[in-house]
Amino acid sequence: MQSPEMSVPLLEFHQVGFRYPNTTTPVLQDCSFTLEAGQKVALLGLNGSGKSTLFYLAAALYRRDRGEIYWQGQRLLYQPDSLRQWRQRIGLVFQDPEQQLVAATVAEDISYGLYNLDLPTAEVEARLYQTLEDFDLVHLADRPLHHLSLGQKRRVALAGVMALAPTLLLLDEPTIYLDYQQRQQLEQALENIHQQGTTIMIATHDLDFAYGWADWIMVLVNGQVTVSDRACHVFEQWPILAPNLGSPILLDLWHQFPAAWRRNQPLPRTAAALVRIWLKGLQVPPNTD
Amino acid sequence: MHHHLDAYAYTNGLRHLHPEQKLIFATASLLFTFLARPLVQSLLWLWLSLWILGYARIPWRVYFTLLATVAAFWLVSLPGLVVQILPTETLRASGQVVLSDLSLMGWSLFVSAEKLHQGLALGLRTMVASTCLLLILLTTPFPSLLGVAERWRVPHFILDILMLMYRYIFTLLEIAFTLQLAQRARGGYQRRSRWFCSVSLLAAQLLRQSLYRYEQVNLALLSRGFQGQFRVLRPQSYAYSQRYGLEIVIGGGALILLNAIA
Repeated sequence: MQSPEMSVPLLEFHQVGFRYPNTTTPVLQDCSFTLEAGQKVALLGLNGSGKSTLFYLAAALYRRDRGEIYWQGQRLLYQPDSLRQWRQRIGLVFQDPEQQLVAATVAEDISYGLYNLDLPTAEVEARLYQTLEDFDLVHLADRPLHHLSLGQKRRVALAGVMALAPTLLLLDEPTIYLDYQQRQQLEQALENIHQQGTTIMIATHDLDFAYGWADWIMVLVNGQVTVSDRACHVFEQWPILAPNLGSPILLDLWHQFPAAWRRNQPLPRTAAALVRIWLKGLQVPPNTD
Repeated sequence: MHHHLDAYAYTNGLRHLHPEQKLIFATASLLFTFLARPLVQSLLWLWLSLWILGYARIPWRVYFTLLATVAAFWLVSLPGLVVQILPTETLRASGQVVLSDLSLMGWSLFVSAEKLHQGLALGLRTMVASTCLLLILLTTPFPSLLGVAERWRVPHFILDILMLMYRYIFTLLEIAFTLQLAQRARGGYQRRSRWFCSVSLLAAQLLRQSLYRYEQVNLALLSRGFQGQFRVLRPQSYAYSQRYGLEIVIGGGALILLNAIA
């Protein structure tokens, strides 16, 4: 039986409005959505639609002008103790790791957030080494951050946030500038993090990544969440729901299939699933190699 | 490219030697330089060079290029130290040993033996003192020095500023380098007038980006729970060396003795 707390959303935005100082147009306007625990959410939207601002508000780095933000039903209060707890629960990985990494070396940077939790040095040390191992950073521990590649910096940025064991992880454009291999590593890292019980929300332009990875999709248009639903439902009506965002390549290919092949088939979320349906449509037995 | 000097600090032969031991040796040598006689200073320079080139295995080209830069600054300031102007009569009355002079309209432009000696002594002292600093710069990573400074109870706010400066100086250099490349790709710096225009645009962009970065760093610090003090764990993988310790004691003792009797 489900306990009553389980039905309370993890994070909730209720008609949140935000405008940057000295500007006339609000970035977010009456923005409302709920986020359930355990989800893998992709927040999609055009440049300037307010994705990063929404993340800054969710992480309580900016203060909303209007509306309310709730964590498990509790209103966000902008008071020091409350903010400290809030920021420990919600980890934010910035788009540019260069802006997020603040210490001199990898180990120092990861330990920085841990000390901010007022943990004793022995525990900081234990959690630091565990994080270094989890993210395959042991060999880079003493390396200065400016000697790392972009992919390594991103891994350190993610590790620094995950060391704090947040309940919700927000990642702003995590796939940008990553090569194929780094993208695969990121996908694996996110899968591991999710399996450990962390809810993940990413803001991205990368529709192909979102299509294959997310189980929940939100679309942000002009500062409002216009779509928030299961990924399979959203992508079934994708061109109608988000006509300006383009389309994932697998979905494009899927729509090129004859209607008879697609009938009673779930949307293929991977290339392998698409090929299986294609082979089935052609009545060719799949290669069992 | 601008990371090279910093990279030597992480890859040299003395990287595992405890930074405190290197820092004490370099600081003691620096202080001794101010007291030592020229012969002993020269011997100290040879000894420090042995540490840098021999033990740390820093390429001699790098080491001598850095020393040449120091020497160039000394050479540029040398005329100001050794060339003097006095009324010719005053100069004659003073009885100074003049190595070279040029008299015109009752004034003499001259180089005295005493000032030249002072200039050369200053040059030697500058080179030895710079070598002491190079020993630290080329063999010890900056974060390790911060670790030593923390143990020596240097105030935290100074360490925080130094760490952030070290972290972002390379980022700023990288941005400047990339912006300059972008400017060159579009024909910047080709004529003198365009050179000034390009430099001013570069400076403006750097300022703008620095301010933007400052805001972002501020957000990053807040998102990771910054509480006013920048505490980090500095894992130590260094060891004091008896062999180097013994060399410092014996070598230092010998130089002090030589300085006393020479």
